[in-house]
Amino acid sequence: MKLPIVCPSCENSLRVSQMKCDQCQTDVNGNYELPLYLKLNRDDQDFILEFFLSSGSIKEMAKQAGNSYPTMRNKMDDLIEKIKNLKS
Amino acid sequence: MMNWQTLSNPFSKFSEKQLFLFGLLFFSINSLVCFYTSTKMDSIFHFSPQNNLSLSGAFIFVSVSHASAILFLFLLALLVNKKTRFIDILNTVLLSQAPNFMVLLSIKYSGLETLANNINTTDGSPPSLDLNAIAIIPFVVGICLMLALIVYGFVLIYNGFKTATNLKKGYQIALFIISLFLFITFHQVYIQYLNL
Repeated sequence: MKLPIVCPSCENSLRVSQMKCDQCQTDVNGNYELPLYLKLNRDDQDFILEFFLSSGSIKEMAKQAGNSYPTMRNKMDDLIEKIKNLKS
Repeated sequence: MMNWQTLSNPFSKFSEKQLFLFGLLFFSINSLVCFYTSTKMDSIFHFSPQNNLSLSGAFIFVSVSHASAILFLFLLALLVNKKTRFIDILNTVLLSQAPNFMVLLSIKYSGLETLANNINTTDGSPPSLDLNAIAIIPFVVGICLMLALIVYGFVLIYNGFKTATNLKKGYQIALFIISLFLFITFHQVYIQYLNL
């Protein structure tokens, strides 16, 4: 199941209000912010994971995805910009 | 699989080595066709007739026009994005000029060249153009093909520059388009003073 990160009604960022232990069924309630990585959409999360798995080589990622190097680097630059905006 | 997206923006798909090899191939073809059609390349996307043009002369005009455009666009690209690589701009210019040889051949073989010569050689008096419905078909086809190829060249240079620099903002796109047209105009004049 995909973790929703934005409100389906108003599209604002969602926060975590409840977590559950699968082992003993303990519920933890609160108002927690989602970690930065989880605030990104699925494609961006996959992109970061791919980048990590290819030892941080954009060239290698480009080869695997069948894209050119500048296309991949542009994607990376856009993602960096997005993360900077999320952090500020 | 080749589709329209790949054709209009090969820079997003192919590696720099592949693009460079194709670029070099079209660069050579353009030089040969310039020699064959006695046309000098006085700027990217611009040609003028030149009588008695030697093969080395054709090659020099094509080389100078390409080199100036590469240098100019690379400097412009650095203004837009400091991470731009030289090879991406080099490939952009080389490939955007690829359709040119077909433009030159379509001018030669559609009869447009003859028509232009007929108009140019009349002295003040109205040119006597012997045109009928059948004779005009090659002109129309030639002009349509030529326009499509010229537009395709501009699509390639825009997409190549966009991919190389991650061009997105409206003012950057406007700067690119205006600078490109100014450069093309300037270069046609500037190259006359080089005595090539």
